[in-house]
Amino acid sequence: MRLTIFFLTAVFCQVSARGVSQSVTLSVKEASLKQVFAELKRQTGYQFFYKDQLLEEGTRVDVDVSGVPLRQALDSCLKGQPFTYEIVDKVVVLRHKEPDSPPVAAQPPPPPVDVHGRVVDSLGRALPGVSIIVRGTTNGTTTDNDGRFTLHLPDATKVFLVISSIGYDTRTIALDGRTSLEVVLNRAAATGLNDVIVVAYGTQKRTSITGAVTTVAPADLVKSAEPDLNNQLTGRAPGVRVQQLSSQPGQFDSQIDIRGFSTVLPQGSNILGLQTGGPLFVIDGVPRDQATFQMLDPNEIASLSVLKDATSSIYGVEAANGVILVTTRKGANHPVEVNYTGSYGKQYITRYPALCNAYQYTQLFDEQQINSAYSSNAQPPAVMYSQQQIDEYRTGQLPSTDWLRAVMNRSAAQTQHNLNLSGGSEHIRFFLSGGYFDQGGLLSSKMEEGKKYNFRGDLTVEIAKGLTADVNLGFIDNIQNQPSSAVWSVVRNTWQFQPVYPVYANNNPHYYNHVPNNNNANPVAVIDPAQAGYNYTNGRQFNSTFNLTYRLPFVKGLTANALFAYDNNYSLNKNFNKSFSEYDFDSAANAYIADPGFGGNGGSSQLSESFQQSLRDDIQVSVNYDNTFGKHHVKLLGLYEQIYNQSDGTYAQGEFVIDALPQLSATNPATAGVNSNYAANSSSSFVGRVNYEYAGKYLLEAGFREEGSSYFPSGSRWGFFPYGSLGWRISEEPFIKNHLKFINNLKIRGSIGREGDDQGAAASFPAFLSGYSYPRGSSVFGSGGSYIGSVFGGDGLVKGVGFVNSVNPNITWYTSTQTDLGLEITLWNGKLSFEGDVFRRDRDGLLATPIIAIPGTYGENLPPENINSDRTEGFELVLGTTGKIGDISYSFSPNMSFARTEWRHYEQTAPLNAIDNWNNQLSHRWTDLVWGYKVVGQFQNYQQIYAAPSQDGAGNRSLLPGDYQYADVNHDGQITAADQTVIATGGAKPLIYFAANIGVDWKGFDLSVLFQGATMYHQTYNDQLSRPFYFGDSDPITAFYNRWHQQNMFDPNSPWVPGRYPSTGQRVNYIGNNTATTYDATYLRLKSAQLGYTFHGLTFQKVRLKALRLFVSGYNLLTFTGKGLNFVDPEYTDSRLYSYNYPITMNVTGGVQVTF
Amino acid sequence: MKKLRSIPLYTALAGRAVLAGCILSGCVLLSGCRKNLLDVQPTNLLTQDELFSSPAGVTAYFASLYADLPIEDFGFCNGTFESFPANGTGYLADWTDESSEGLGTQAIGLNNNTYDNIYAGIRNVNFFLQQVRLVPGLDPTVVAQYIAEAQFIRAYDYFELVKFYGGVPLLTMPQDKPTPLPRNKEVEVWNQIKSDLDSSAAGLPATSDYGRANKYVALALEARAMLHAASVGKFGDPAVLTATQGINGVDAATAQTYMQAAYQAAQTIINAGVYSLYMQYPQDLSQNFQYLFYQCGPGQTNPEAIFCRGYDYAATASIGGTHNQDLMVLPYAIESPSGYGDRLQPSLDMAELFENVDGSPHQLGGAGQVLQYYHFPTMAAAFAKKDPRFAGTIVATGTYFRLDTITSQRGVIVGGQEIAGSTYAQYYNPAAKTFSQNQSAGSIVGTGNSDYSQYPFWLKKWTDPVTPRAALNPWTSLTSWMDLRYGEVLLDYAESSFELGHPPAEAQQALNLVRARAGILPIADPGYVTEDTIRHERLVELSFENKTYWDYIRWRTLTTYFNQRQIYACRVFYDMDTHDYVFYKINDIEGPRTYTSKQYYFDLPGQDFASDPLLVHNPGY
Repeated sequence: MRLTIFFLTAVFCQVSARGVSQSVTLSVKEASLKQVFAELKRQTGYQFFYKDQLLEEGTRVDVDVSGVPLRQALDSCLKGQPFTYEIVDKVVVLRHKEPDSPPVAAQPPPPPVDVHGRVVDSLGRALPGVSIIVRGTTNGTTTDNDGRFTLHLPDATKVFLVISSIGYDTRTIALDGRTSLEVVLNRAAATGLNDVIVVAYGTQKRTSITGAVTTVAPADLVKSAEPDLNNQLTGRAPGVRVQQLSSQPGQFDSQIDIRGFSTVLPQGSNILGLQTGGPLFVIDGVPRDQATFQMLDPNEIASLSVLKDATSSIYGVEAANGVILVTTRKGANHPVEVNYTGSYGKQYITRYPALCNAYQYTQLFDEQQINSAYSSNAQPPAVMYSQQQIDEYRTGQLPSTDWLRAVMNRSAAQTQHNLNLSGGSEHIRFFLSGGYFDQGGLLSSKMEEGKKYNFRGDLTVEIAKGLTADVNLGFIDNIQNQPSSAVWSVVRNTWQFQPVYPVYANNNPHYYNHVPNNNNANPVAVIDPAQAGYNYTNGRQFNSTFNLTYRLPFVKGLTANALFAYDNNYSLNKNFNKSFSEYDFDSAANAYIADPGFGGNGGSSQLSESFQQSLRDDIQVSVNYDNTFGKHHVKLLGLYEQIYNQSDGTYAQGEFVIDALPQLSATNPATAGVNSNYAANSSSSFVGRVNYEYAGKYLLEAGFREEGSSYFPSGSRWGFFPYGSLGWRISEEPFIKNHLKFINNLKIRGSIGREGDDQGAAASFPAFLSGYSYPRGSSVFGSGGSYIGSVFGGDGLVKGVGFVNSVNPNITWYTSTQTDLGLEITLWNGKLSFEGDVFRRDRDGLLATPIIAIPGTYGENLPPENINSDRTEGFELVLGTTGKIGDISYSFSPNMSFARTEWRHYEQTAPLNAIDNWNNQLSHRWTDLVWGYKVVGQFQNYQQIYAAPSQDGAGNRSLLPGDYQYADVNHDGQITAADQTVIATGGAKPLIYFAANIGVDWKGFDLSVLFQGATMYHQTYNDQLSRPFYFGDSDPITAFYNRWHQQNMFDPNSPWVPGRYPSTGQRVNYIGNNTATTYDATYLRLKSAQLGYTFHGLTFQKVRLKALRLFVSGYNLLTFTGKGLNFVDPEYTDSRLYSYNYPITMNVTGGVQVTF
Repeated sequence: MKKLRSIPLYTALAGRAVLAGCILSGCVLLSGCRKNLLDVQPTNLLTQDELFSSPAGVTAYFASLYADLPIEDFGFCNGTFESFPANGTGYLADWTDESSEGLGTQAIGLNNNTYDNIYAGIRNVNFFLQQVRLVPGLDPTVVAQYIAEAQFIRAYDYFELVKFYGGVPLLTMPQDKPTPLPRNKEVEVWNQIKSDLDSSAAGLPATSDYGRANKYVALALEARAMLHAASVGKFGDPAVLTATQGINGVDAATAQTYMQAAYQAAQTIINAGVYSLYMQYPQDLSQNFQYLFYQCGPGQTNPEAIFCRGYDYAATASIGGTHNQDLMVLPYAIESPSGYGDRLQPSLDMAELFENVDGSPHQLGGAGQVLQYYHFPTMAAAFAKKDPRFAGTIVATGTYFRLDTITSQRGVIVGGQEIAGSTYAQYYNPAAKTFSQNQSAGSIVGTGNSDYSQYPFWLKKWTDPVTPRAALNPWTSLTSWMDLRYGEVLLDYAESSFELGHPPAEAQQALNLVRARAGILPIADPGYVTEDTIRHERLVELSFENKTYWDYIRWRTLTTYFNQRQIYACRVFYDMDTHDYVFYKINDIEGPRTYTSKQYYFDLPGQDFASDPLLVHNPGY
């Protein structure tokens, strides 16, 4: 093919060769030989004949010649290159120099040299583990973690280095006398097959993995400036489901679960929306809490893996909900390198309800009064606002207040910095990192802040041959400041302020207005720390891990390891709830009349402080064996681990006489309240694992954990959690390997195993111990210091005891049995890849109180027993394609996951009748069913209303045109509770998550885009998002302005104008879930996008930068939702906090990354 | 950047440091292998030995028994103890005609868990009675006193059960394992209560810590309980007694012994002379009556208080530690910044039950016909001549309460035409003929500052006159609940004496003590002492103390008194022509109320029939 082209071209060129000069002018820098030859051909008409591979051995050339003959130009170009040439009849034939060609001159042999180099990828990031081989020899080395290598060579002049790494295009480079060089490797069509990934208690080659393990590249975790690591995982790992709940600074308000493995509560969740269950987070080999994970600086992360199936059984009693494994970075053998990343950006509210202005509000309010009168067949009342007033609000003669805007800005700033250093020698290596994230808040008083400082240091020392010690210290300092009242309650109250009233009395900003007939404190004052105080939280997390590894000299492949980890976390919270006055302006007297007693605890300024600390220590001792015997590869692990957790806290509060000093010591002792808490638990485990691999195609992994937990009595304390998995790399079989070479990998794998969970039994005292809790009811920390007693004598309140006589002496963990089947395919060197998994998890022994005949006269309830069971099933798919078009390399990888849970047994009272059974029984039902009325449509007129089945129990006399017509599901001619049916699935969490990662590199530019979305997802909003005037005269959101109404509300005979929502009014029609108020919250987001450009080898004055990269990035950039849901962000959860969420923001940042 | 220099030196130094660290951590590791690692001891769980071996431990146990005592206090709403009465309906006063916020569509009934909760309390007290005898080293006299006090608690629990349900399963020992039990006869339960209270009164000292039982507490409860039991026997339908085979009802003969027991218990307290009627403010008997229900907290001297439940700041914002009375009942004009208010408003019927100070019956303008106008020069004048207890119990429109004059006004009358306002505190502009929130030239007060509809009364009893209204948040009221007081004992005495057929002078004497303290004309002649006068005195004296409903129950008048009975409200207008105030009676919007005879008992909770097949329903359910 290529030869044909050559001949065709040759013929063509011969025809056009006349008039082409024999002399050459050439001035190029860093040009490839191919480019140079093309230019020479253009100038001379000579053809060049060579093999493509040959040129790869050539270096780039700098030539500056003018009017010289072709031969001279060729000599200049090929100087120092491993080529010689021959000119045959206008054809230049290029070939290798003969290796044995005699030296040009008898020079003394050059002295031996050390060649230092660094290998980076196209974005300037270090590539570790790259193989550097001197061509034609076995002399070589590999790069360290920082991409550096050093070669000791007798001579640097005629040396060609072959630089190769899995997943990258191999390059051959002529050293050409250089002793230092930087090599850029471009990503090959990536198969990733030989990646080594982090798994439980070790690492594994990807091809040898038999479990469902997903990894997220650290580079993907720094693509957007988001303080919460959970949010960085969104869409990056199929099966990992992340829901961003809000962007409140310092709050880390997100939820993460694996494959839907968090516990779904049967009747909605609690009001804080806390998820129960969730993955185990293992950071540097040690189970650590979710907050630590969320607050990690992604710049510190070396790897992140997610164990989604039974292979997580090796973590035993806490692993039933999947495991997220993180390792942090370590130093490497190279000179000190410094990396700096900094970014600055803005956060913008994605989508948030707006409130009606005074013109809209006054109309809706009057309409509500009139409609409510109609629907209760009463005479229309005197309306609150006259037509004249409404008109004056429309024209602006009367002012309107946007209370929400007065409380909340549309945008806020954010800043991020990270500086890290790494380096080391053969025997000692270090990594140091410091990070800072400042997230500004949206509240207009600017009082909010979320500041996070991260520090990490790692030191690895080879103490003696084979004995390595590693110390890793991490520190996170997180500061949050927020109003003394929870933001959600501020939002709720703000919506209850009518736009007809100003924020300030007489518009004087020194006096917060007291709005008549409103019990809520003026929200603009509530967010003003000078008025209402503040709520300050400082959390500090100190994590330390000490590791000692000894490669035993007497048995090949045997290592012993000891690990000790000690974590200490502190949290200080100070809530200064200050009381303040609002003002009425008396225009007659030109005076401001104070109305005190807003804020505070019942009008008194109050301070509460809590201090909570927890410590964790973890000891692991293990032996590893890893060896290959012919085609047999064997790995063995034996490990003992013990973990001890302890937490305690104190809480104190008091009210002030003088509130100028927000210190506990300044509070009135008569109002003091104190409380404390303490809890501890421990576990002890024995772990074993075997990996066996035959000829790289038959794979087996099996293991167990025998674990005892202090949450259970000695008789039911110990559990055995085994698992096994098999894999078959069909692509290694000769019939594929030899005949279907485009198949790089074809593997089927399966796993089955059993895990446990003791968290359901986690309580302040073990559930199997009887006795008397003391003081009664005080074990929950921070709940306001409650204990119940009766007041006695001079001693004041006597604390009572709690009767803990209902115990289950056999309480134990629940077990979770997981099965997973997976298929992995890689074709054409990664041009196309596929990975798919189906899974099922059955949980048995979930705690519930048995419903059996316990007569009330017995006087106590039964203790919880391990009786409920559920099943979660689903699948995941990942597709990948990579390729190159010219200089553009691209990758595209879509994924999706589906997971759903059903109760297999849910302990509840027997149904009273068939309807009760249909409506309320949970066993053998999906956990995510949404019940409500089906809406047939909106009534267009009274004829339709009176012809329809009665849905208000009063012959539809209370209904108005525009009201929803419900389906008479049971055809009994009336709409009752029995007509409720399943109207949606998904509840508050989507059943399907999907995402697509797109990467494009072109020259120095890199673009990375992530689309993410979810479907089979519904939301039913509560409170003021459910209907207008939920609270008497509160201000409706603007969405409700699009409603049915009469053209002239004051004229009962005027025609109805249709709208999206029913006419306003307090009617039965608004109550209850229905298909019109349950929104399909399916969404697609441009979740993140980053565009960068990298400069290499820049020198500024005397500082040489190894790489300089500029980037812009965005998070939550664009959101598309289905029909109907246009007033809130689709991730705005419905049941949490009565549907008053802090906004979710879009972040747009620009930044710089420097390496030197 | 510079290459690390002297790497061997660093290596050596750091190596040693790390080695030392590793050895150290190795030591930690070894010592860290905690002994009994998995036996983590809880720090907030006491064993029975730790608890029972010290008086303080037993006191803590009793603190919980008292905390669990089903006292029908501020939080007894909708049949639930310690509830947050957010919608303001379901107070026991709403179940009768004391309050305007009537039943409406709200059915009366007990919380489904009440039965089980009281039995949980009975289990705890039975367990204590069983175990306390076994504690080694305890002084037998101390043990006897503990037992007497525990018996009081058990009697209190069973009194609630029998009052609610009639005969219930009787347990005097904790069950070892759950066993279904049949219902005992009602008299068997009453007998148990009587026997427990008799031995409690015998075994307890004459004084006790605040909030705990002593001899007189047990006797006062006995007087109340026995009066209830005796009334059931005397006024109850014998057919029910027969039909239920004694599970509902008391036979007449036993009733007589109960009446005697009530009489004796009350008489013992009176004769002891330990208690007397509260008379702190003789110069202002309304204030005196009001402060009777305020100055009864821990550490305060109140000669009338026999048994109280106290509340304490240390239990702020916890259910059961504090309550919401002020938040709920304060008039709108002085409601808390937290809102609520107006949740318990006395009816016109209740207001009219209070006699005039001269002992004559009081009704609006005399006859008190519905919709008939009665003119008064001022609002307060309408109720000026009433029993001082009226102003101690009720805030009436136009009277001063907590720094403000509280008013109810529906609108104005112009030319005989009623013009109603639309919200609180409006002004009426006669020129423009409009109501508005703002005062303008020539405008007059158009609507009341606390009511613009038809409820001119608010509750004063049990409210805290001192704490600033701004300091009232949910669960912040600390006023004690006076559960048993001497005033009630006198009325128990009068009633039992009268029902036993003693000379009416005995009852007259007790009634007149109460009337004298109230500041109202005494009953001059024993001949005027009738069942009605005794009952009337109770309805007035004990109004809003969660007694009235149970009085109607035990007198078996609930069905006769509430038979299509319309409860009345009252409208107030300012008449612009006559320059005075017009009051008129109007049907409460809730409509007429009717109770049926099955409602003399509640049925047992539905779920308990499933767990105890031996239970039977009460008649009519």
